Amino acid sequence: MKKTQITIGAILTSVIAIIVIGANLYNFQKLVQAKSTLKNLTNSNIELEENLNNTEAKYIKFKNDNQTELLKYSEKFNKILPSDEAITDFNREIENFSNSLHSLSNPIFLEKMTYGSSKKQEKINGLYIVPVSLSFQGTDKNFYKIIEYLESSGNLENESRLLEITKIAINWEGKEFEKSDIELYDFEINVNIYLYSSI
Amino acid sequence: MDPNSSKNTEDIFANQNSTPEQNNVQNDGQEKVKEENKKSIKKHPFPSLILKLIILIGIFSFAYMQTQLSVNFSIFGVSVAKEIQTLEKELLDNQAQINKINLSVAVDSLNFFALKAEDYLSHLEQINSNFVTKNTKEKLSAKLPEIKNELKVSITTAKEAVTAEKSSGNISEEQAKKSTEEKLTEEKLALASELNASENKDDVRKKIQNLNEILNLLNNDDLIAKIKSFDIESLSEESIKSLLENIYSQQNNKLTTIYNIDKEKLIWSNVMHEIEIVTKGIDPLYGSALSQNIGQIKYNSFQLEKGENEQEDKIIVNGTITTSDSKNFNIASDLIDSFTNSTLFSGAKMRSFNKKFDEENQYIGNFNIELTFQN
Repeated sequence: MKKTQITIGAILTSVIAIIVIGANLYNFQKLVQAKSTLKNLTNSNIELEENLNNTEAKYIKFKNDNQTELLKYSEKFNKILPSDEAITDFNREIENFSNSLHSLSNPIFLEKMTYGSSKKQEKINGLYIVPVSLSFQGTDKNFYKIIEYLESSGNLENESRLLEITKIAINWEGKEFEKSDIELYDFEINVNIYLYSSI
Repeated sequence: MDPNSSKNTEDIFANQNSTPEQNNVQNDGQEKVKEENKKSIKKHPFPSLILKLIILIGIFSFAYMQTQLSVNFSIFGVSVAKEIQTLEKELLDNQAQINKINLSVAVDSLNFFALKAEDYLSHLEQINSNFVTKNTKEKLSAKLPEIKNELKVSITTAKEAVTAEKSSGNISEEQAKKSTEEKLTEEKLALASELNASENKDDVRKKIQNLNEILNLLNNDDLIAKIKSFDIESLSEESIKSLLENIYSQQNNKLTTIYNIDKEKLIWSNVMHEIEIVTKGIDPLYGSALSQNIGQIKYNSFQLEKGENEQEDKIIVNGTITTSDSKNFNIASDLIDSFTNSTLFSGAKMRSFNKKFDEENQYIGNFNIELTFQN
């Protein structure tokens, strides 16, 4: 009887020992796996770091090779489609173009420029418009030249500000220019100038 | 459990129900049994101790391994699990950085491609135009191979960049994409938060815009698939146009915005030209030097208005019709019909007609016609 009691005690101890050994074996297996994963990850990371260094080197070369062109286009795009209203730039652009058309035999006067508030456009994310009203007095030839210029807006060559004509009103009842036979017409052109700020 | 303790308890119960002699005999027997038990116990101290030791070591070992397999314990230094976690994050970060760089190169190359493609198509258009001189055409033709070569370089770079591996052995493509997206978004938010305080706002905006373009391309599987399958060797006008169309419709940047707005612009000079053609059809002297004196139709104003949508675009033309035979309403009607039948306009409207006889023996009437565009 006493021998049996000793055996039960031993069995219990043994069972506990087996459980502990089993749990250890299980954990050990997991730890071996984890170590193996760690080794693989370390190797992968070494490879990836090498890959990253190569990619960065290629990127620097790409940027250096294309730096001039990237900068050129970036500047052009900023003039054509600025990130803010850039009203003062547009004033200069229109006045300079209008003045370049003007001559005594073919006059044109930019009389007024009025800006509305900017509005967000739903159709393109980040796009805004600023309505502008332009009032001129000029010959019919210059009227068509102004229209042609505004229509060709957003041009990469002349870097003109991107805009869209929304309204043209011209009064074909001409006025005599300084007692000559040149007739001047009043015309008002409404445009939306664009800006792009995708923040 | 101590085996001696149970034995002692049973001995006490046995002693309570026996005589002194029996007790003596029993005691002798018990002593022997005790001795035997002691001997039997003494026979096995070593295995029992080993077991206890095994259990003890086992518990410690288990605890140690458990800490190594857990990211939260750091009693024995940095655990293996923590190291794995750190490395996995590092791997994802590195992969995200590689993907960001490749996508950045792809975005720039696609923009170059679009610009070169526009140039190439514009050259082709002029070469095929009847209004360009032979000399100019020859000059333009001579430039084509160079532009075509630049196109090939741009699209090859873009193709290489989008084809570069987006994940490494231990990271799935989905994980890498998510990590890249998170990295780009974090960078974008950081830039946006420093925008107001920045001295060079334009520079910060450019960086944000660039990150937006990269993010856009990252999530644009369709465009990436088109770039990957693009046949660079057999570069043709059609394939260039097709890819360009895809870039414009699926990328969102300044270049594509300029193109998309330009595409939808209403060309008012075409409208005015059409008004002139229609008017000359009714009054051949319109626009000539003689029209001031003997012309029938004279415009006072054009009002061209762009609506919220194409159906709302409208033109209002008004002026006077002068005749000597009082056929003003006939001419006004002819003008309305001509506008309606023109290829550009539809729905010419005028519902009030008037005329009067003036002092110069002429009939003068005003007209006010509202036109809409054909769909």
